[in-house]
Amino acid sequence: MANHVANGVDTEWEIEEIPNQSLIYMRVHKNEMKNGKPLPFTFRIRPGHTGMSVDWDKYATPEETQLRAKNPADNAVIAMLVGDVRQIPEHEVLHQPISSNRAHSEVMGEKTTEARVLFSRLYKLVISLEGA
Amino acid sequence: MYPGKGKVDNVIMFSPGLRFDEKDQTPSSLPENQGKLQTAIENSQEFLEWEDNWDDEGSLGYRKETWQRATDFILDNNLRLWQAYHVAMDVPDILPGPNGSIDIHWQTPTYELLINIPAAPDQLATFYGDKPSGTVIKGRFQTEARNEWLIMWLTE
Repeated sequence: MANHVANGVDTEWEIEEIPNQSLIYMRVHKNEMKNGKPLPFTFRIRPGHTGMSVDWDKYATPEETQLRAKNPADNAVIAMLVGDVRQIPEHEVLHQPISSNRAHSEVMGEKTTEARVLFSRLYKLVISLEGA
Repeated sequence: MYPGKGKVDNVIMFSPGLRFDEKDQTPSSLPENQGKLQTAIENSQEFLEWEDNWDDEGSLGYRKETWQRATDFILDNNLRLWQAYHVAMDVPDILPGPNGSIDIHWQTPTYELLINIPAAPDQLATFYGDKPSGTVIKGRFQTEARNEWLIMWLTE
């Protein structure tokens, strides 16, 4: 049985292992930023998701991640190294492709106060807000 | 290596209600940082105006009661710290947190501390802090209890 069927994911894409040297991209809304930096708020699980929603760089560019936002110009994009994310206690990065986005992945694990501080030390800003 | 990215050493866990030992309670004037703190609190009211879905991702807006709980915690403990030790804490950022909660955040070259005040009034606040020396503190506490030990950690 294909992985995507076994995991109940609604897509034709195979689920793959994400290597530690990969990057993941995540949007950051302008209201989540202060002085050009994401707030600790940024590292949370959005409503309707089981983990923190990100894109795997094997199948996405930062620009594509930004364009998935409702209002792309209102969003910056950050990148994190998967191996660094996996160093945060009880966190894992899983490929969870959906029909509209082969790159879609989720960072699983409770976004505790501790985890949010640790995440905020890992990112690199790859697309800034316009005019910022 | 700065603590937090991988190995964590010297973890100190605190329980709700644990208090820092008090010294004398000699009355004194208002803390010297009171003006800056009041300004930070007033400026933080901006996000109370945000409605649900303020991030285009479905996040909840913020209730005045949660903000009041957060700012009361800051003001009360700042005053207690000043009265007990004549020490003024650094002024924190008061920020939107996940699920209608509020974050209180200090980030300096010598320490970082994040306190989260949940939207539900009966839930305990959570905190995590560390210093380049390797000291880590984390735990939960009641915001209404005496918690100046936590703020005192910033000044040690």
